[in-house]
Amino acid sequence: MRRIEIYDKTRRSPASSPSRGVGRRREPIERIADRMGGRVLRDGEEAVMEIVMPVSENTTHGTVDLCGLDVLEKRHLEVLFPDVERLEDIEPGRFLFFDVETTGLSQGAGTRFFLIGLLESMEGEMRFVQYFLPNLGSEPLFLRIIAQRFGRRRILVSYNGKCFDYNVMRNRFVMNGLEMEAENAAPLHLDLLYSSRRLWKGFCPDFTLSTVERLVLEYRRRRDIPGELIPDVYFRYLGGSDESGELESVLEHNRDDVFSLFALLIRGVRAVGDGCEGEKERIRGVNAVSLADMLFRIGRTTEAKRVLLVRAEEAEAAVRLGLLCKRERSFEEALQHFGTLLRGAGPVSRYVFACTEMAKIYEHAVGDFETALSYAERARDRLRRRGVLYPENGRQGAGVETMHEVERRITRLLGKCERRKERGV
Amino acid sequence: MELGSFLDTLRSDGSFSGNVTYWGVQKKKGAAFRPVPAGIHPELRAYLEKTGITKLYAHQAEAYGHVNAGRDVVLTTPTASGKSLAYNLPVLDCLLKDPDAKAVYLFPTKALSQDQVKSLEDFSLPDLRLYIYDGDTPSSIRQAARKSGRLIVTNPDMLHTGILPNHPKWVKIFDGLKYIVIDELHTYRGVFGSHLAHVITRLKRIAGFYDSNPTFIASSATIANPDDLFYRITGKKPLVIEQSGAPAGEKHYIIYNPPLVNREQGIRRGVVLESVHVARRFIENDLTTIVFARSRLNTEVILSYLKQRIPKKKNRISGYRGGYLPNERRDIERGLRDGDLLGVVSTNALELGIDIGSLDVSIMAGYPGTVSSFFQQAGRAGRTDRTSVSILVASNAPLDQYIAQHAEYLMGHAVESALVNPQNVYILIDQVKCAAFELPFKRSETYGGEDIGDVLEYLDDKSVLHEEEEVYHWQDRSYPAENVSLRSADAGNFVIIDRTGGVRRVIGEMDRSSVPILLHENAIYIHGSAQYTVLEVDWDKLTVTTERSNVNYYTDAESKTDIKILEKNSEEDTPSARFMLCDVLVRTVAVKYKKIKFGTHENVGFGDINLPPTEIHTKSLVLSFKPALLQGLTRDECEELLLSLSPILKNISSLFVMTDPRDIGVAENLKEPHTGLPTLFLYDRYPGGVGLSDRLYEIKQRLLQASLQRVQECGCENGCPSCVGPERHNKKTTARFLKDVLSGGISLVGEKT
Repeated sequence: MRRIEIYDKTRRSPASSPSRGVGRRREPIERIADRMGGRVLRDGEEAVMEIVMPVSENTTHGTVDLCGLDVLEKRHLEVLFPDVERLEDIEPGRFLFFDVETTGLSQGAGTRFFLIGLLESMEGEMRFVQYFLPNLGSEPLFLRIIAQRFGRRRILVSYNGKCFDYNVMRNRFVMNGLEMEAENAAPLHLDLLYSSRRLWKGFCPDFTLSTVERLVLEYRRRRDIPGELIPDVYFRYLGGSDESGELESVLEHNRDDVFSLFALLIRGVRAVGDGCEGEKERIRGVNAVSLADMLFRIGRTTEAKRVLLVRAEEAEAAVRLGLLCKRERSFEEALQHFGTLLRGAGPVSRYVFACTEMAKIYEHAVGDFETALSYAERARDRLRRRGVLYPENGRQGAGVETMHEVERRITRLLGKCERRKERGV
Repeated sequence: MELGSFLDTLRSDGSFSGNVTYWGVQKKKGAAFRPVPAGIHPELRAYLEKTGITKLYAHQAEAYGHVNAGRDVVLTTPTASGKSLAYNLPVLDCLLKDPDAKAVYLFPTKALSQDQVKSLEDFSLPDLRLYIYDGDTPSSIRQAARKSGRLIVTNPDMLHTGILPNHPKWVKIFDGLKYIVIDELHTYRGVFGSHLAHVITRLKRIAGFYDSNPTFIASSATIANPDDLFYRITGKKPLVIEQSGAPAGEKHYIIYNPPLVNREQGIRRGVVLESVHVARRFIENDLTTIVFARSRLNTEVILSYLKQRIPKKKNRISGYRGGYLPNERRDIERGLRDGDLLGVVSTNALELGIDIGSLDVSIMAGYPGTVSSFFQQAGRAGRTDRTSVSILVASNAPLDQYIAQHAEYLMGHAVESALVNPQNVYILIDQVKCAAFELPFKRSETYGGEDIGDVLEYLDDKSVLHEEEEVYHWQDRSYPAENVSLRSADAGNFVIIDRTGGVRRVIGEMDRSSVPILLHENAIYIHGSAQYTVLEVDWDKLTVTTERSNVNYYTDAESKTDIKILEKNSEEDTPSARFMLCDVLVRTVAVKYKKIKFGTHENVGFGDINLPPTEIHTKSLVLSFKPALLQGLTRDECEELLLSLSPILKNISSLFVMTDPRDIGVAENLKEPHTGLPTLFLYDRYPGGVGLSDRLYEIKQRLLQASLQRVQECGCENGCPSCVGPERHNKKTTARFLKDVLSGGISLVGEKT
């Protein structure tokens, strides 16, 4: 028996995806280019399809106008991406938005990208370009063209491109013995996944691009192919059994992705701008606490505090405000913010944290041991009621005192009260 | 007490020496030195001088010379002969002299990598940029390793799933890759070795892509075929260095055969209790002792007994085996090195070179299965300057009894071969997928020297590959290496959870294939001498839920097997028997388990196991016996005869193929449909086979010969568990039958025709 027969008999098909059909002739790339309004670039045997699409001024993407990049202000952008600070200017011509479609989700050597969408500003106008790889043998040309476009741009914008797209691209360059960028001249890469996660924390159940664009940009795709089906479409195309329209929908998907990048950046920067104004009605649709954290991160404390004050009733904001005021030695104000945390229902940890913070202020800053004691006792009582889930002397959270620590505080305060009474007498 | 005088006491103590079948003494051996090579880099020379090494052992100097001249080398000098230095010297020398040179070290386990890195760090060479790269490496370090590493210490699994499929990220290593070091080469046999051969082929393909052509250096325990194994794994013919120049202290080798308690039935005192008895004498005299048990279960049983019987020192005795958590293990290793522990009971997990210092005594509770394991376990006792002793306590198993009578098998020339079969079609196809993911295949390209056109075509047909202009490209969205485990047929270990008291706590791990036998529902699982009852096995989530229990028995599972011949590959016909090498289909089902009482080892009950059967396609040595040979025997007697032969053959076969006896399956069929004859099967338990059956077919005469010796030499009256099996009483029949099979003649029973 031939070894393959043995294998085939005793193993199910090794293919992880349904048979994609083989043997039929692939549709000539020229015909596809004609249909899609693109053209074919050739170098010897190698071919790449290019589709160029100017973006007219009044294009909208969901609720966002795709206006030019000149609206971006550096001081807002660097809240989202601290690295921007090291740039001299953020001239629109330096930006390149990009997104690739790949044959798999792993980043190993066997995953390739076959389509890239690029959005850039050319002489004041936005322009969208796609390059498509019509056969695997043309990869060197495909990469050379892309390298040219990347070479000129110093600010890359992507969604999860830092961890994925860029790595897959770099692998393919290495495997073709080409260089993607000059050594030691890595461009600045703004990955919108990270800023979106912060800015819209609590507004999106997950941070896939499609969720974010639906909830933040309110953009609905006309018809969309689910991302996980894309590799198979390309494999079917390669095998000559592309069902009509499938490839078009992948190109459209990619365009939507890139436009969403652009819209998300505009939307994000605007949200930062609005937030920094600090007016209540203007901090809508973003997570104020995260925004404040981002401002803290780059040392813009005054603005951060202004943002937090808008949400002072919320626990997470109150925690930060309390700690900030304490650091600034505004103890009255700090007590107010920690006091907010004692109202309403909340986790044991937060309650205990607030009580002990207040006890500390009363003890060390105000010098009112009696009140400090009463807060320490409130912490103890709450810990006692914490239920069976917690181990007897376990810590309820980082920075939260344990029963043992709270009890020690109480003992000490009792002592202080006593001594003061004695002295008073 | 000092070991030398204690051994004298033992020698004159009849209750011990009366049971000794072999007591050999290896004299203290002086060193053979050579000067440190003149051309060696000054930094290395300085390190050697600093550590007091002014001369090298002969084999180290020899290795340096050959590797330096670009030869591939395999070292088979004994344990503790300074093998690491032998490969470290030429590699480090090259890294120091050539700033572009890189090296990769492969160790079979993470623990060994850790150990090796510690000793490499001792060289404190500038700019060595040494990194461990394994599952425990944090991601920041991983990045540094890829960007700037020059010496990467890893294991085959990580090379397979982490490094090779991501080679574009490792350009800096592949570019200028000069050396690959494979330590403990002999451990790469069977499935693991067959996979490793492919992993190395893939590595060479990728290195070639980046214009590198590394030299291979391996170290191995003593086996019959180090050069052949090296060749099959690396595709290169090596130079073998086997003469050690290292000194050795006086070493005693003792084979201890427990006394017969029932001569008629051939029953000897059990290996577990007897090993406890022997070990106790040493530990009580403050001699550091390691006891190697044959199974995780026995480890725990022996540990419990020792703690019970030496209550004063029970806190200085510990267990050690797979399934203990890593920090638990590190603590035990440290305890042994520092002398805090007096005794440790271990599975073969401590056999590989993990540093536990040098002990006085090594006791093997049962033959460890291979000669090289025997010497590695024995080597745990004693280093260069003091007397040590290794004691093999023989069990009732036929193999142990054979060895108890034939010490020359252990002490003479190596006869075991470490076998691999990279051509196993399941392994081949899985690995070709991994290779295609890494680099496309040209139609004309050979892979590991073999034509794989049929495999490429098949994968293209299944749309896993896509052919374009005579090149096969990977065309699947998956990451194939992730689904291919190098160590067993199935990926993924089971996690063992203890839910006692409502809290779920992970207490250990178990490989998938052992689960039906060791962790079926109601099995008693013993860990750290605590008992757990298995409540539930979840085959999807790969978890086993247990609860603390306190019963006076442990469990032992039994399974049932049916075999069908699919195709005959080779055949030899003699007047007495037909010997065939066949493709077979094996269907196995675990059916029930026995409850065995602690202490007395009596059978106290049964339980059913309800698990679906498993089917594998594999290779088998098939022995069908001609009717004339069996004339005059009743059907029952024939059946008895087959049942007697199978355990002997199975056990004896592992004398020749280096494998765990569990990797060889055995089955009987009184009327096998293909031949119509009474038939025995000895088959590879791994799907597709890893070369065991092929080798057994080649050496069938020697196999039968050794089996015959075992039966003839057994001390029992007419059959016992050490030869034809318990309650069979057909020892003489079996012996004569084997003789007839061998002579091709017919003299057994009844009329001769």
